[in-house]
Amino acid sequence: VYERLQNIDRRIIYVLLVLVIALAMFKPLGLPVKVSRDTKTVYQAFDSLPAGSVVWIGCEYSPASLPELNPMIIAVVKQLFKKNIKIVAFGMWNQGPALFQTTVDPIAKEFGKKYGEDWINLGYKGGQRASLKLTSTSIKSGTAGVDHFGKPLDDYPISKLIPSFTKEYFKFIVVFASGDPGPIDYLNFISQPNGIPMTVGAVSVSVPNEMPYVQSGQYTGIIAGMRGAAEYEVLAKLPGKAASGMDAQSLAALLLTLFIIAGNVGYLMSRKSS
Amino acid sequence: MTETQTWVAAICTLMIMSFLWKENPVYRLAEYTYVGLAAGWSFGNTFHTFIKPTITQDILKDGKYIFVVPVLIGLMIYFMYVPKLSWLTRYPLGITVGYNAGLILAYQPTTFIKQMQATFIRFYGAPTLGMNINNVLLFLGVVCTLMYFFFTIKRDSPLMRYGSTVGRVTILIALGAAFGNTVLTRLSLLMGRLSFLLGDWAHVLK
Repeated sequence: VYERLQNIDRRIIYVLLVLVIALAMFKPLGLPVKVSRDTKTVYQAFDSLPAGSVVWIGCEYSPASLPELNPMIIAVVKQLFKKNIKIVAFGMWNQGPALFQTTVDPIAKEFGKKYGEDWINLGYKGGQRASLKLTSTSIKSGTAGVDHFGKPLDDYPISKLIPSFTKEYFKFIVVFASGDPGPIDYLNFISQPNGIPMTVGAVSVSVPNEMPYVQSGQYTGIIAGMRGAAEYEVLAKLPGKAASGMDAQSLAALLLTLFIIAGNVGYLMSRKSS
Repeated sequence: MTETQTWVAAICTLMIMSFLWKENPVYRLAEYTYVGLAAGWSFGNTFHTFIKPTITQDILKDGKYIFVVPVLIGLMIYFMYVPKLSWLTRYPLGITVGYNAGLILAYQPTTFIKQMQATFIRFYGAPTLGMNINNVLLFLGVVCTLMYFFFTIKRDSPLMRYGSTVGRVTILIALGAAFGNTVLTRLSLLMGRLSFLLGDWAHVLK
C-alpha cells in the first residue's frame, strides 16, 4: 500500500484534477475572498491619481499567463478608464502588446475611449532593455516612431503628451509580467532613476521573486497571481473570472496537497517498515 | 474569436493535452506547428514594428545615416554560416554582451542598495506584534542565508554551524514557496484552458 501511495499513476491525478476544477466551475462554492494589504495598496495608488494623468502599462507576458493576468488587466484598465486616466502600453515580450490590444479594445469601446487620444499601444519593440532605456530619453526613438499597428506616433494626439518616459509625463507604471525581461528592468532603468512609482501584476510563479521589492517599498504593492486578481475585482466591484476561478484553484490546490501528503506518508511508512 | 477560430484553438488545445496521456504524433504536430507559427509571427511583428520603420523613417526620411553602422555590425552575425569568416560574429556578440553588462552595472547597484537598506529594520516598536516578529524573522533569514554561503570560513564555531543551518532552512522555505506558486500558476493555466473548452467551445459552461 505504501509503495502504491508513492507511485500513483499521473493520469489518475490529471483526471481527478480536471474533474475537481470542472466541478468547481459548474457549481461554485462562493468561498470568501479576503483582500490583502498589497492589493489594497495598488488599488489605492490608482484611485488617488488625478483625472488626465498618464499611466504606463508594461505588457511583459505571453498567452500562457492569460488566465492569471487577464482578469487583473481588465479590472485595472476599467478602473483607470473610469477615472479618465490615459494609458500607454508597451512590451518587451513580442506577444504581450498584441494580447493587451485584444483585451483592452472592447473595454475602451465600452467606456467610449478613443484610440490615439485616451490610450495607445506602442507595441512590441525588439532590443528589450535597450529600447526601454531609450524611451526615457525619447519615446519616438525607443519605439522607432510607430505604434502597435506600425502607424506613425505623430498621427495620434496622445503622442504630444508623452515625449519621453519621465516623471513629468507619467504618474505611474504598472507592469503585467510573467518573467524576464520584466518588472526589474522597469525598476532599474525607469522607475528609480526617474522617480516614477511603480507596481506589478505578476503570475503566481513570479511572486516570490517580486516580493522583496514590495517589502522594501520599491514597488507600490503587488497584484499577486489569480488570488490578487480576485482581490482586485472585489475592491473595484467588478466581479470577473478571477473571483469565480478562486473556488476551482483552491479545490485543485487542496487535492494536490492531499496527494503530496499521501506520497510523503507512503515514503515515511515504507522507510519505517524496511 | 469567430466560430472557426474557436474550433481551431480547441482542437490545438486537445492535441497538446494529449501529451498528458503519452507522447504521440498528434502532440508533436501541434507542438511543431506552434513553434513555427510563433517564430514566423515574431519575425513579422519585429519587422513591421521596428526594423521597417527604422529604415524608412529614421534612416531614409530623417537622414540618421549613423544607424546604418549598428545595422551592418548586427548583420555580421550571419558570418557564422561562413566558416572562414565566422570569427567576425564575435563583434556583434561582444558589443551586445558589453552593452548589457554595462547597463546592468550602471543601474543595478541602486536597486541592490535599497534591498540592503530594507533589512535595516527595527526589532521593536512596530505598530503590531506580528510586524515586530516579521522584522526579526526577515533579519535572521537574510543574515543566516548569507552565512550558509560563507564557504571561506570553517563552520566549526556554534555560531557558524547553527547560523548556516537556519540559513539552509530559510532557503528551503523559500524554495517551497516558489514551488507552491509554480503549482498555482500551472493550475491557473489548466483552468484557463478548461474554461475555454467548456465555455467558449462546448458552450456547456456559462
